[in-house]
Amino acid sequence: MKIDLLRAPLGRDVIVIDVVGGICLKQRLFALGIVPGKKIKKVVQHPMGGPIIVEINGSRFALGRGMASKVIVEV
Amino acid sequence: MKMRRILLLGNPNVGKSVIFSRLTGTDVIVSNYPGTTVEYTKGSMKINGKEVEVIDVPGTYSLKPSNKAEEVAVKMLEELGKDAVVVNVVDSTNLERNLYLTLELMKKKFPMVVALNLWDETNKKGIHIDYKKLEKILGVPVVATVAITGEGIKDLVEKLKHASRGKLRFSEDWTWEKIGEIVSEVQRIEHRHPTWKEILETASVKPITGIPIAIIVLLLSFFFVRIIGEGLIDYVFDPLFEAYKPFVIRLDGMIKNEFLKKILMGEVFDGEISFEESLGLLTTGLYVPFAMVLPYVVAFYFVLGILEDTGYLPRLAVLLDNVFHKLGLHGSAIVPTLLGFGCNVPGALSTRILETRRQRFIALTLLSIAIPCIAQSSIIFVLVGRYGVWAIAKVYSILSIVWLSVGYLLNKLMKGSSPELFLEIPPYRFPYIPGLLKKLWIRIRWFLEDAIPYVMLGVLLVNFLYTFNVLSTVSRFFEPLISGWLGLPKESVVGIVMGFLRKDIAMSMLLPINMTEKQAIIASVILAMYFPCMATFVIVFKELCARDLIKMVFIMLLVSFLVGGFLNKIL
Repeated sequence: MKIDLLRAPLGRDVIVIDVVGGICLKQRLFALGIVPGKKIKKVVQHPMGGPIIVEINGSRFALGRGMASKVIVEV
Repeated sequence: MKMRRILLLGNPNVGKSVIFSRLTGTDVIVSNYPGTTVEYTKGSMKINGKEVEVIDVPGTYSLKPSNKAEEVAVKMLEELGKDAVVVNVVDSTNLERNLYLTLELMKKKFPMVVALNLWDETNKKGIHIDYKKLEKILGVPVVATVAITGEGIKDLVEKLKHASRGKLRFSEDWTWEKIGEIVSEVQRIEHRHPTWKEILETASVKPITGIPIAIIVLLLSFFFVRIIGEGLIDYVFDPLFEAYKPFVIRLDGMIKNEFLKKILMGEVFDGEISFEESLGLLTTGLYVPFAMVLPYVVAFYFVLGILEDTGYLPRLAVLLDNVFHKLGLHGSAIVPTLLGFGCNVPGALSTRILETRRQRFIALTLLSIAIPCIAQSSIIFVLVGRYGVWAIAKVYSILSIVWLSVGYLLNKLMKGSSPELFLEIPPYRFPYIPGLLKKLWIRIRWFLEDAIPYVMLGVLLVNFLYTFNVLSTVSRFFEPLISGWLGLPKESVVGIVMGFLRKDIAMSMLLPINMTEKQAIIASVILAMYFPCMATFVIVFKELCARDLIKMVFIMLLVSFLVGGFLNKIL
């Protein structure tokens, strides 16, 4: 099933399928290793439009909602 | 090979600045969060008897910059990279992510050495890296370092001579595949159960557990700032000034020139000197910055240093991200905000971790208008404190409301949107005490260098102006505004005006004046809001263009006198 990171389940490894955003966002996420084929895990999700925290390559990043919604993952 | 300079380059928060101070012996500020270094730092070291320039470059994840600090990094590399050796500092607990920049640097063909820093943490995390193998694959020297203890630094210096451009060939589109390949060859990770540290790391960013933890942390911090500050005053600074007093009194007896006497000692009441109110260079000019403000500056930056070095700040940034978003900022703005509570100068500088000019404008305006620095907080505590804790709470509530509403309005009125939070959450680390103290000392030095000249200048100016009767003219000019509109006593006009220069001077001039609770509240709110102080203003001037600066000054004056007038009507 393909969904965006916002709707992905908490605490489970999922695989990045695509980043559907502008070139800036793609580059930024690319530098962190958020690229198709990579494992990523959502660890925390804040309510009310707050950020989410993902684990990628062993480090943790806080991302805003807009960014997270552009990362498509396979569950 | 000719080596003219060394550039320290790497991801944010991998310890570049620690390596820098190891190599050069220069003290720089280091913390456990990304973006501590927003401007490059230059130093030098000797290699084989020859002087080589060393540059500590702000951290960046890639060579395609996304904020001002990263822009600085990339620009430096372009301008200075020609005859430089790049030391690519890598967080060895995050080899995979860090290798991205390494490979980008290799693509650009810079001669380089890779320093696998934080080497000691890999063992604790069950990560095993075969760095000899990595060296072979990359074709550049690889050294394991623990910058904080100095382990591996000698080795690093030794390897600088063998810096090379590497031999790795790969297509840019397949960078991550290449990295995957390399990592699977050189790294082995043991599976471990989460430690209590990791559990706490997660608990402090989850909203349900994180918010109570944040409240406890902030209350404890406030408590410790007070305890340490008061302790320093009672046991260090007040006794020092008591010991110094007889000296001043003797000096006062020796000086015959009335004018000089007035400038040095100020008002002497029946042969008694009041450090708080005499307003002379050697009395109030020293006492206010040293004995009333400095102790809290020390206490504040000590406590903040602990929060910084443990890695707590990014977690606070995540928890407060929602609030900052309403103001057109995002969670990372917690760093300039918190630093600003100490002194607005470092606060203003650290706005560079924000991505856009719009964000920096909002952050700088909010900082100048509604974040009281220690000097401003001292005014609030001393002036309003006479009327109890509730009166103090009122002042801070007013400032918070101003902070929220000005930010909200700016966000609504200014063109453009604000980028979202994008922040690495580092693991918790135990603060390295010598580093913590060094950082504290650098910040105290900044404060002293900024504060003392301005306070002295201010005291001097006040005395001159009094003597030549200029102040009464100034007073008369501003009286309608300050007495009429704000309802403050006539005598306070000069103090409020002098707040332009420094808030501590304003404090000593307002102390002797009898004010009601309402007047004390309005005076301290106005002093906190209408202008930051000369030193901060200079920084803001450098960070913004002239038009933005004028806009900002206009907003500050307008809002503070509107709020002051409003308070005068309703309190």
